[in-house]
Amino acid sequence: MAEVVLALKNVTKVYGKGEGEVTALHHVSLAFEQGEFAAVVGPSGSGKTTLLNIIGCLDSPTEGELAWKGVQMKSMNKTELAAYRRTHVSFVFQSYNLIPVLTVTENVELPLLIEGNHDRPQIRERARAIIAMVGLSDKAGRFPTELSGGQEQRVAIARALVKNPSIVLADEPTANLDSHTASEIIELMGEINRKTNTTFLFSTHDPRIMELAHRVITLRDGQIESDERRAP
Amino acid sequence: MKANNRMLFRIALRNVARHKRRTAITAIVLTVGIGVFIMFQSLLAGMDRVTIDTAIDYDSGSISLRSKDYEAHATSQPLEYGLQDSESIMAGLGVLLPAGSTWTPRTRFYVQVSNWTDETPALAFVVRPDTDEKVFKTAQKVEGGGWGVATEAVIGTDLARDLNVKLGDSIVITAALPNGSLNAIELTVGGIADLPLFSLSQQAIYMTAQDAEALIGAPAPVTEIDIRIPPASRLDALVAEADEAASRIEKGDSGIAAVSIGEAMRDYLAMRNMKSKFAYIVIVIVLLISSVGIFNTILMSMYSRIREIGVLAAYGLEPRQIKRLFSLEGMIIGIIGSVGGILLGAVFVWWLTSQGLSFGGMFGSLDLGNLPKDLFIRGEWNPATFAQGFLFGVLVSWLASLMPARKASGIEVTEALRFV
Repeated sequence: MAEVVLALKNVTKVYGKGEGEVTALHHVSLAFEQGEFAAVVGPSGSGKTTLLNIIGCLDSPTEGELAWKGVQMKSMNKTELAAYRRTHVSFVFQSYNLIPVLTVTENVELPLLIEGNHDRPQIRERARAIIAMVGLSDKAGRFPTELSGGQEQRVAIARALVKNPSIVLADEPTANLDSHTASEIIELMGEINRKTNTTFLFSTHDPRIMELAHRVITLRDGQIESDERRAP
Repeated sequence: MKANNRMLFRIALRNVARHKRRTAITAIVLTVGIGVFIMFQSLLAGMDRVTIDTAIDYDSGSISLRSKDYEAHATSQPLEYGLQDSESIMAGLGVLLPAGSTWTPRTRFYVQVSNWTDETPALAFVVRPDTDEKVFKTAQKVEGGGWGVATEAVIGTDLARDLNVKLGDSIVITAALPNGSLNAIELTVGGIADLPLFSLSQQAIYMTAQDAEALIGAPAPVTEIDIRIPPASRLDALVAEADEAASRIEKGDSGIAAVSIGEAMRDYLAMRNMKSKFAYIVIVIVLLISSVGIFNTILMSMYSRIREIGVLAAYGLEPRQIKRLFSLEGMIIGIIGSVGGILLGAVFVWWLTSQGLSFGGMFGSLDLGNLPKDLFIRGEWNPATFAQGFLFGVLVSWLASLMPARKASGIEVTEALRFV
């Protein structure tokens, strides 16, 4: 059995107070093993983004526990959580969110530089290898504004992978792409998952993309409706 | 582990370069402010230089030695308090003064001068031409040949005009002697001196020692020994050197009052400090205006990049590093504006030093006190002013960026990522 990298136990997230109170997640318990390729699905407002934010240590649960490789996150302050994100988590966003003033290579190098890596040749070599993996070697010197949406998302995936994270969290990574490009992106993520054994967790509405996932967690009104595993 | 500062600098620099118009407008305000500050300071330094130089060249030299009694009664310029044994004092000056210094004895006393019809008070100077010309430039301003000629007097332009006399006319000079009696002599106007100081142009009469002896019935006592020390490139250095030399002279002879140019111009120099403060007030106002621009620029930059801040924070950039990123942007704009400011200031100062600025037409025949007539100012280069302008600019830019930078660092990551 593979190592459990991440465990949520009875996680509840409540936003607002009094009459404006909204429960985004309600007693959610989940565990993820190393190398999983999982999708979180559900209608808008079901709690997908909140779940990904809590797993990514961007937000903290109102109740319940989150443990990364057995380490409890509850007692950590903002700086400690930032340090944890630097090392273990990467993100792919719906709107790509590349830094517009940096080239493709510089965007990909960014997480390593934020990590505090000062070995310039090593950083450059690692970035080039990852950019080649996502098939954008010929665009390495371009700025994000010079790329198509699909290419930007490939760069975002390269940026997410460059530091060898324990998990890549992707919030609706294909929502802004046409169906063909969306399939390509998910296939690319699946291929990288197989090659590097990196855990991927992505949220989506797209049924075609769900089919590519090895595990589909369905949320409804902040609760787990189903947690279905499929053979890879 | 700390994030790579070079990376933060690169992002900051490129963001500043990306919004060229916004950066340029903000930096230009800073550039103009610092440029004007440097020009203003250069002009003030030039005004100080021409004022002090004029006083040295025509009135008192760099240091003026008098007897302490004379100094105590200086307002009446009394003849009875001359320097005792002025020759031996002058013989001992060489070792106390910087190499290249020159000195001359002078006698200064009040007289009445008449054109036979009207009479007016005047200030008589007994000059020894051979040494006087090594200290003062008065002789260079004389029109006519009467400088140092017996029975002839040189008088200031304005005095000649007031008395309505010209070269070759005769005037009567009356002096009150120490014993209380009055004595008078008749002299010919042998020269008219176009002196740059109003006080001298309106009052000065220069005569020889023989004529003075005839006027007061005894050899004229030396009431002052005026010293010129070699010029210094910086006015402050010249004043300091004169102060030090005056102090050395006073230590060597307790009966002598050595009045340095700094002391003689004490009131002017105090006013100069006030002018300098005014220049600082000007730059503070300009920088405050600039700081509003920089504050606004960084705030706009922050709001246009909220999602970017979210991404950086999601990838582990700490709040203080996000703050540093935006402070760096402010500082870069400050550096651009400040470099522009010192370049603009350099152009202004170059123009002021090479072309100069004439204020003669502006003031006409108005008595400007210590300032010379036909005021013509050449600017002065002062590296310290350039450094101050640059540092002020960068410091204010950094301070102005702190609040928006702090705001950027306080944004919640999840809110930033949701921001549209």
